[in-house]
Formats: sequence, C-alpha cells, structure tokens
Amino acid sequence: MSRILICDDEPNIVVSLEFLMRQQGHDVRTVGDGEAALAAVPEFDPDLVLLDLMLPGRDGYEVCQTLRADGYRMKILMLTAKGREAEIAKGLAVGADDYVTKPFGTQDLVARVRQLLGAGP
Amino acid sequence: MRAARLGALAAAVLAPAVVIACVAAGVYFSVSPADQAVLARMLREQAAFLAVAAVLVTLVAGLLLAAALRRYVAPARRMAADVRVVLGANPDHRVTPSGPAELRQLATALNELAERHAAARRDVAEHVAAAAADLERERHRLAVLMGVLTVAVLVCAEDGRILLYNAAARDLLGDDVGLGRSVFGVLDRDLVVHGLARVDAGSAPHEATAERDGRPVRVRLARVPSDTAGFVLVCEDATRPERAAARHAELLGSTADLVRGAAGSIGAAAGAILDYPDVPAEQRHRFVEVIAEEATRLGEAAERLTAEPGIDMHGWAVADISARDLLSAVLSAVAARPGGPRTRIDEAAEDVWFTVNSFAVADALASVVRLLGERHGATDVVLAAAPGDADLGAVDLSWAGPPLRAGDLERGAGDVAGVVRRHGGELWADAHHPLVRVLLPRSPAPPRAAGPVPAEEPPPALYDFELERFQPGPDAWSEWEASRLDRLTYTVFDTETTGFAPDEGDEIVSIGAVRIVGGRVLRTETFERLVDPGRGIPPTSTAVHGITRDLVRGAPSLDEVLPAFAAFASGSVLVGHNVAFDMAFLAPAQRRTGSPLTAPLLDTLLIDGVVHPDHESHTLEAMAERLGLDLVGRHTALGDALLTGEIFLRLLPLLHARGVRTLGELRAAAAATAQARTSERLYRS
Repeated sequence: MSRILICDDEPNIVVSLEFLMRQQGHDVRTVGDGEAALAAVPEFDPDLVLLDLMLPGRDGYEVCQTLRADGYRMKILMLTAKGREAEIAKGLAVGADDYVTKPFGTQDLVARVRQLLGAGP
Repeated sequence: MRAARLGALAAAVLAPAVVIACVAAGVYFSVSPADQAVLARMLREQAAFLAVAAVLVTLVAGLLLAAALRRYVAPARRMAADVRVVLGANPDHRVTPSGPAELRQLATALNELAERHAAARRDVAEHVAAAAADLERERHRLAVLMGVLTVAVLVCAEDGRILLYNAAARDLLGDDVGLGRSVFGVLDRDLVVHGLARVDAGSAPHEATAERDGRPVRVRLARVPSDTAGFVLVCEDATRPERAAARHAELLGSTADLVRGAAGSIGAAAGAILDYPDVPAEQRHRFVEVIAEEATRLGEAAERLTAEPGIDMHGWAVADISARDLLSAVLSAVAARPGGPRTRIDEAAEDVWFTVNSFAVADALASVVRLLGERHGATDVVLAAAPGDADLGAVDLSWAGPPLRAGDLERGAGDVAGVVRRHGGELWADAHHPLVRVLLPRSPAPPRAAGPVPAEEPPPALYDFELERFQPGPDAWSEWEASRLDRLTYTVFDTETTGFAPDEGDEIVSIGAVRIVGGRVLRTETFERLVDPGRGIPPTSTAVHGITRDLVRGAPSLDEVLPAFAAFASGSVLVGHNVAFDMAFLAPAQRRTGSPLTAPLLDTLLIDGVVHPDHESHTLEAMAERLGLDLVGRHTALGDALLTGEIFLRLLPLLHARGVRTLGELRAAAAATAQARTSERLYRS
C-alpha cells in the first residue's frame, strides 16, 4: 500500500482517478492546484504524485521542478491534455518519471502506476 | 536731347557753307595769277553782296536739309521706342506708322514681326499652361492613390532621403517620417543596405522585418529603375495579421486541450465502470454523472468554436457585390461546365447588395443549379434577388417542375449549406413550390449611386521628386559653407520664454519649428512642444504668448525636448529670428544633455540687415510688411516659426540679386552687418 497524491483541477477526472487508486489499495489524497500540492507533500509524504500539467496558478511543470529542487524523490506521473513532443520532453526534463496523455485507458494508467511504484526504491 | 538736336541743326546749316567755300576755293586756285587778281578785285568790290548771298544760300540750304532729316529721324526714334515696348513690357503694343512712305513700310513690317512674336508667346504660354495642368492632374491622382493605400509607401533617393510618403507611412513609422528627411531615422540603415544588396544581386523585391516601437514591421524593398537611382519601401504592420492568426491558433489549441481533458474524464469513468462491474451503485452513479457533464462540456466547446467571430470566415475575403454581378457570376460558373440547365436572371427583380465572398457563393449557387438540372431534370432555372429583411437578402432559384424533396439540397449540392452558413446565412428548398431560397448578408449601407464625386480638398501632397536635385545635409563644415542657399534644407524655429533674461533664470516654455524643403515651407512637417520651465511664468509674459504655469505643468523639461528637437532639425540649417536670443536659452540645456544643435545657424534679422541695410527696423512685423506677408498666428512658437520661414524664403531671391549665393557667403555678409555687432554684444554667452 502506497500513498498517492492526486493533483488536478478537474473534479470529473479526480472522481475516477481517486476511485482507481483506491481500488488498487492505495492511500489517496486529492488537491486542486499546485500551491495545495506543494503544501500537502511534506505532511502526506506521498510515494507517487499524479500531477496534471494545466493547473491554475503554479502549473504542473513548476510544481514538479519545485519538488525536485526541494530534494523530494517520490515518483511523479504527469497527466497532460497536451500531447506534443515538446511538452512531454519538458515534463521529463523538469523531473517527471513518466507521463500519460489524456484521454487515457484506465488499465494503462493503473499498470503505469504499479510499474513506477514497483521499480521504486 | 535738346543739345543733340541743336548740334544736328548746326551741322545741317554749316554743311552747305563748307561746300560753297570749297567750290570757291577750287575755282580761285585753278585760274591764272592775272585772273586771280581780277577775281580778288571783283570780290573786294562785291564783298558785301557776296557775303549776304552766301549767308542766305547757306541758311536756306541748311534749313531744307534739317527739315528733311527731321522727317526721318524723329519717327525712326519713336518706332525704336515702340519696338522696345513690344519686346519688354507689352507684347500686344504695336508700332505707330509715321513719317515718309519708307518708314511707314518699315513700321508695317515691324508690326508683322510683333504679331508673330505675340502669337509665338501665346503658343508657348498655352503649352506651358497645358503641361502644368497635366502635371497638376497627375500630382492629384498620385496624391489620392497614395492616400487610399493602406500599406505604408516610402520612395527614397539613393542617399535615403524621403521623396514621397503617404499617410499610412506616417501612421506606421511615426512623426520622424518627412519630406527630405532621412529614412534611416525610422528604419535601420543596415536593414535597408542589406536589402538593397539582395535586390541588386537578384531582381525580385526583397522582404525583411524591421522593428519600430517594439512592433514588427514587414518591409518590402524595390529599386526605382531610372538614371538617378533610388528605392521604394512598402511597409506593413506585421502584428495585425499575426495577432488574428495567433488568436485563432490559441482558440483551436485550448479547444483541443479541453476536448482531450473531457475525453480523459469520460474515458476514465467509462473504464472504471467496465473494469469494476461490482462498483457500488452510488459510485457508479457518480461515473455516469461525470460522463453526462463532460458530454455537455464538449458540446459547449464546439459551440464556442463556431461562435468565435472570424473563425468561420478566416481567410475569406468578403466584399460588397450587387445581386446582378453575383448572379452573373453564377451564370458564368454554370456555363463553365457543359450540360447545365438553361439559366437566366430575372431582369425584373430588384437589385440588392450583398457582403459576401463572391467567388465561394457564386460557386455554391452554381452547384445548386447543376443539381436541379442533373438530378431533378429542371430545364429552365431563373435566378432573382429580393431585399429580404434588414440583415439578410435573398437569392431565389426557381424552375418549372416539381419542388425538391426534403434532404435533396443538403445531399446533392456539395458544401453549399456550409458556404451559406459560414456567411451567417441560411438556405432551404420550399416544400410546396419549385423554389430554393438562399439568405445572405446584405451590404449594411448600400453604395451610393454613381454620380459626380464631390469636390474635396486633395490630400496633402506628401511627395516632391524634385528633392533629388537638392543636396543632402553635408557632413563636413566646408561642404556646408559651399552649399547653395536654394538647395539646402532648413528648420525654422522659434521659442517662447518666461522673460528676456536667461542669465537671471528665465526659461523656455515652448518650441515651435517647421522645415523648409525644396523652397517650400512644409506646413505638414512641424514641431511644437510645450516645455515645463520649472518655475513661474510672469503675467507679463503670459500676456504675450498666452502660456500659463498650469498649461506647462507636467510637460517635459527642456532637457527632454531638446533631443527631440535636434532629431527634427537634423540634416538642415537652423533659421531663427534674432536667433542669438533663443540660443542663449538653449545653450545651457545643450551643455547639460550633450545634445548640441550642430547645424549652421542663420538669423533672419541679420539677413534683413544684408538685404535692407538702410532700413531702421528689422523686426518680424516690419519685415513681414515689407515683404507683403500677413501677420497671422503670431506669438505662438509655431506661428512665429511659420512666419519667419515665409520671410526667409522671400529673402532668398533678394540675397541672390545681391550676389550672395552660398551659405558661406551669407554667413560672412551677415556677420559684417551693423546688427550682427549689436546682437553679439547683447547675447554673448
């Protein structure tokens, strides 16, 4: 059982993500923007962050970069509605471990999360 | 004249006496000494009688000769004077025939000559007038043409001086655009030089992007093919089309993101339902709600995309077209492909104006006509237009035969529905009559009926190709000195101040200036700035120029205005009236800002001293009166600068007449005037 932080400003995707992660037996917490994500990390200490790129205020790139700069080593899986090469490259460059583009298959997402957590330290 | 006449009379009287004396002497010396003695005795005895006879004969002969001479001389003189009048003052004057017949014949011949002379002059004058009128028409046409162009156009001499610009150029590139001024004041020199090198290497116009006030400007360069080289620049604001394109791209991009996000939510919810069949009912209900909500969001996104103005018509040029022209275009499009039905325009129908992309609409309507012929068997199709309501007009297609069935139009006629809807119009086939009605946007204000164009002020002629003959502002001082006065560019300026004592803290409150280019005061090219003097303005000064402390509070300081003024005046000779006074105020600011006015200075007060050394008064008022100028708009800096400019132009020919041709000669002459010595004493700084 791992702790997973879901950060997305779209409640409709959070409904499904939260359900899927709980079904896998994880401890799940959700936040709606980048600021809240940065505040939740020290206290919740997640093993994996499901991070949407388009967030109000500080976007997903910035959150990811800040977490890495602060020395956090948890897995970060980016969720993006932008599918362009450059955006994926940027996401990986600022410290994400993997990315999933919307729309995505639920089984694919679950498999990726399992893979990331299994390969972790 | 009287003395000459007396002399002639004396000569006429003496001439017979001399002849008689010579004959007598000849007779006396040709006879023998004995006969000479006899003759001498006879002369002695008859001396008195002979003397009287000699005097009488001489007088009579002399008077007769004088009278004969007078008959010829006086009329000849008069005729010569008449000829001079014809040649000089009045070509319609004629020689008055007088005197003897020979002179009358001469007068007639002279008058014939005068007649031909006058006719030749009239001929030349007519030709000159006709050519001038042609030229004026061409100038007018060019000015109008330049005025209506929405792109900025600049024509430059090889050295970069602007010979022509239009209003759009001023709008796009700013106030530094002006006749005779360097284009490099507004566009980077390297960009132009690089572009011209590219053009000279190939032949096509070259495109480059310049930057002006932080905005990209697209510049096209081309050569002017002529013996005196030069170039043309066509500039456009590159931000406008790019901004529209960027807005469209942004909208499409954000819509794509939204669609992906919504599809993600729907997919995840649907995936959860499928993957976990035993989900509790409440949770399952949440997933179904998500799917429903996201479906709604997708629909709304599609709505926004179509509602965005300009997206549908992006890349579609719409313009006003009359129904007659639009329907004629439909006929042509139908005829372009064989096998279409017979088609005609209902001439009785009202003419309506539409605002459409005429090509797309004509093509779409033609495809409806073809559908009627090919699929529906219609043989005679009639096209007509109707006014419809305020926004939409109608094009009706009718034929003999049964009405179209539902769906025929949509399925059979290509993208006609799409074309019409993109214009914000609608179309349908009437269920009961053989009629297709197409509604299209009407032209908001129907174009006026063709008629005489009202006479309007022509747009200011912002060009002067003659400028090419004028030399640019030289770099070296020696070249300035040798420059001909009538070939130079001038900036005439004036200042208003808080008082007369710069040493005691008086300051400038406004600067006005106008450029003189090609011997004309360019009223379109002026400089006028209020200056905050940083101190109070005495009421006595306000009474003169009307500038109050409140008016200049918040205006830029002299140190800020001076560089702008220096830029305005660059490449030209500075001219002012009593210019030493203005310079006494400007000098401290020049030292502070390091922005000196390097051009030569001329003073109309001193120039008037050169031209009118004997006149007491060299004030602007006195000079204006002498030169026949109105005193309008006095005592504003710009008003005085304009007046000084007109005065200066009228002084130039007077200088020329006095042999002062170059700037160096004028400066030397001006420095030698009594006024120069006075003003130097007064304003030495």
